[in-house]
Amino acid sequence: MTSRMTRREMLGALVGSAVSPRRTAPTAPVSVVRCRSYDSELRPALERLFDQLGGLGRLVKGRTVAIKLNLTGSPTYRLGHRPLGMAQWVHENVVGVVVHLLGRAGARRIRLLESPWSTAEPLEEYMLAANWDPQALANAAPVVEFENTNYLGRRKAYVRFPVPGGGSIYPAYDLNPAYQECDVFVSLAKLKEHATTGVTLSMKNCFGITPCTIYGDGAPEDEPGPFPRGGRTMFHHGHRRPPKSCPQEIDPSSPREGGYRVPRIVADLVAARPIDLAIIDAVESMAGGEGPWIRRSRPISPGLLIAGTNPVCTDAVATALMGFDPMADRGTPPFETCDNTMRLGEDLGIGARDLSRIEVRGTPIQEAVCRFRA
Amino acid sequence: MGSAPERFPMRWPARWRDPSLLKLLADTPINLLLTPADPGLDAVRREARRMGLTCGELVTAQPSRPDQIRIRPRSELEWKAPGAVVAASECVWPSIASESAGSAGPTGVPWVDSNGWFAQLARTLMPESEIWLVFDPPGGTVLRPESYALAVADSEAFGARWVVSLDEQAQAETRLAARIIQVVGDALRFFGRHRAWSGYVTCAVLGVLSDYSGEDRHMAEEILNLLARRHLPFRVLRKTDGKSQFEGLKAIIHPDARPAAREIEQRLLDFVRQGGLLIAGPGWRVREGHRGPEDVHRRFDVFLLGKGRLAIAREPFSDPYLVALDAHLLLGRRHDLIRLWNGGSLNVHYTAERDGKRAVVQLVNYSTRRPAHQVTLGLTTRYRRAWYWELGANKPRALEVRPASQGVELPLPEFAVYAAVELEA
Repeated sequence: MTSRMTRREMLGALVGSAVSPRRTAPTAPVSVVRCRSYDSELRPALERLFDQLGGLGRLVKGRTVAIKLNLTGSPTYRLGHRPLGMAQWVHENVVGVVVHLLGRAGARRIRLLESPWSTAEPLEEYMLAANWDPQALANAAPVVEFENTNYLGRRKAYVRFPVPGGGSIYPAYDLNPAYQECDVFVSLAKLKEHATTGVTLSMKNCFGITPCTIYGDGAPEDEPGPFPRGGRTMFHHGHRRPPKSCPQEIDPSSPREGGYRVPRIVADLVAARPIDLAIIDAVESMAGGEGPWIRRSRPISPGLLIAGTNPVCTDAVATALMGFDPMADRGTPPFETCDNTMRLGEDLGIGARDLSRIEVRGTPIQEAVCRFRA
Repeated sequence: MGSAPERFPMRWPARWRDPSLLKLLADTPINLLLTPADPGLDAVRREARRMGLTCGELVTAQPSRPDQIRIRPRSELEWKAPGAVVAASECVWPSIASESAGSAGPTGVPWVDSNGWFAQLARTLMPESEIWLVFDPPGGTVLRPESYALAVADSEAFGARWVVSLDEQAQAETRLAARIIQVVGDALRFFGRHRAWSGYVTCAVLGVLSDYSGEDRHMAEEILNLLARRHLPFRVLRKTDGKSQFEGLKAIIHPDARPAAREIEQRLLDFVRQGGLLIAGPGWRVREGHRGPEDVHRRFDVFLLGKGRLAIAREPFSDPYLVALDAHLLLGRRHDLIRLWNGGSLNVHYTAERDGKRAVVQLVNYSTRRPAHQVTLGLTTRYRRAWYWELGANKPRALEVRPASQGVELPLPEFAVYAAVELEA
């Protein structure tokens, strides 16, 4: 029997259910493989990663696939001498091989999306500034496109994504249409800690689907701006409102604190724009924060790749692989000053974070843990 | 016949009337004392000459004696009639502007005050002249000796000379002055040893063609300043020079509001037909070509002509920051010759021998402190070997050259003020 209920409708129905979401939130297998470098072992490792999930073909064949990349911060900012892909960004080889494998699995069209900080420049230009080769990515599959979703670009109007259940901070988000015009949405993230949300994985990666023409520090009061200006401190501090034409805050008296707001916004965004495939690059990364601008951040080499079709389950396994407890909540590492985004996602019915309910395929967690805080 | 010895000028403080203070200059390259015409300084001048120093005077009016050197505000310099020495005032004390000091999160790039762009401009427009930059240390602040080293480096790296000048505190404290003069002397000596670099030619794919005069002057000059901040090397182009100056360029900015003369227009259109990009203000008369794809910010009408493009601004240029940004995007970063990571507080000058076999990248750090994050230099030319020079070093050290998808990357050691990377193809 084929359900006619969309995933978004199902999430909406789950919200407010009397049954504990911890027991009822959907669960899906999470695949974990070892991979020590971005060289020749990467491709077979990614093939194995996806094979353990049943292969990519069933998910992407004949479909348009949008991949939200994690390219946080400026492309000219490095952790020491490390190229960005060895620290705060997903590695370009991972992007290239994933694109290639998606194309080989029959994806009709692959779109690489990101909202690079405070700029309307083409995504390819942003990548070039990091010393990436966007042409190589474009050649990795038959149809590969790039889009900067931090503004409207040449499109006509933003698309409104309501949060199932009404939302915690905003009832809906206005996003670039690229996030609607895809059959499969992939979050391609990095395994990192985060100063505001404790960890940044496949869910937190979606913070960057929001355009700064609306949610940026320089957004106008009435309508979205033509070009992005500034970061999304509005989401952190709630000190200003989105333009009047966009959905406004539900409760302006709610806490004006990043550790309260950002996890809720992230969980709501993932509920509003569900992730179909979560991939986490954990071959090389950084510990201590999400970017080199965080003091005491340092390189770390987990040597892993993680993927799953449920972002909460995937992030829960990833969190455990970092040496943290995905069931932990505010006050407990790594969530000392914030709420647990996975818990909020679980409450929304997106997915389970309880490891006892998640099947891990491939390398077991206990054999692969890389403690981010020794 | 040997060439005349280089002159290293210093403005002698008017309050330093004790000739014994001249010993502070011993073992420094400083060999020209510029003193006010004050009889109270006669003894200093006498002793200076006895020590083999030359004495002179900076004046603002037409010189009446051979030892007088006229200072002109740089905004009033007339490029066509330079003297052997062009001493320009209105220069800035090189530094990071105080309002942008410190880190600004994931993307902060500080505002930098530099005379480097002006030195490059003056060197090109007045190639036969020595370019002296006349500026004083700022008052009301305690300056570290590194700030003085920066004043030297920001001038010398770009082909000009700072007329050394001490701040009030240094003038009042001989020990501090001695330390500063030693740092300045070491820096001057370093650049003196590497004078061959100043004969290299700028490596750039972007040129700026302007009259650099009248109402167009400020915009053209500020564009140079802001291109430098993007680490986008530029070549200053002269309207009096022929097409050969366009060789190797991929784009030219013609920022002047005044339309170009027909002959220059034809030269630029030939450049476009052969595959170049011309970026011009709305005063440019589009006589041929057909519309091409829009630019990112929709601030230009883009026309295709021959193998190249004409990008004509829809509004008169008013913000040089945006002109530099748009030029970079219109040109495309795939044409970047140089990239820096963690180099927000740096400016660079990339030059090479005419045959391109040897090159040097000079890096000036306006923070005067070792950076919080190590700097990596990226070059699209795949140089085989590289050597690193820190200011004052007698010997270079070999640098690792790492292959990268866009050329090579060179991890640089930390430096506070200045470093140079010599490269061999």
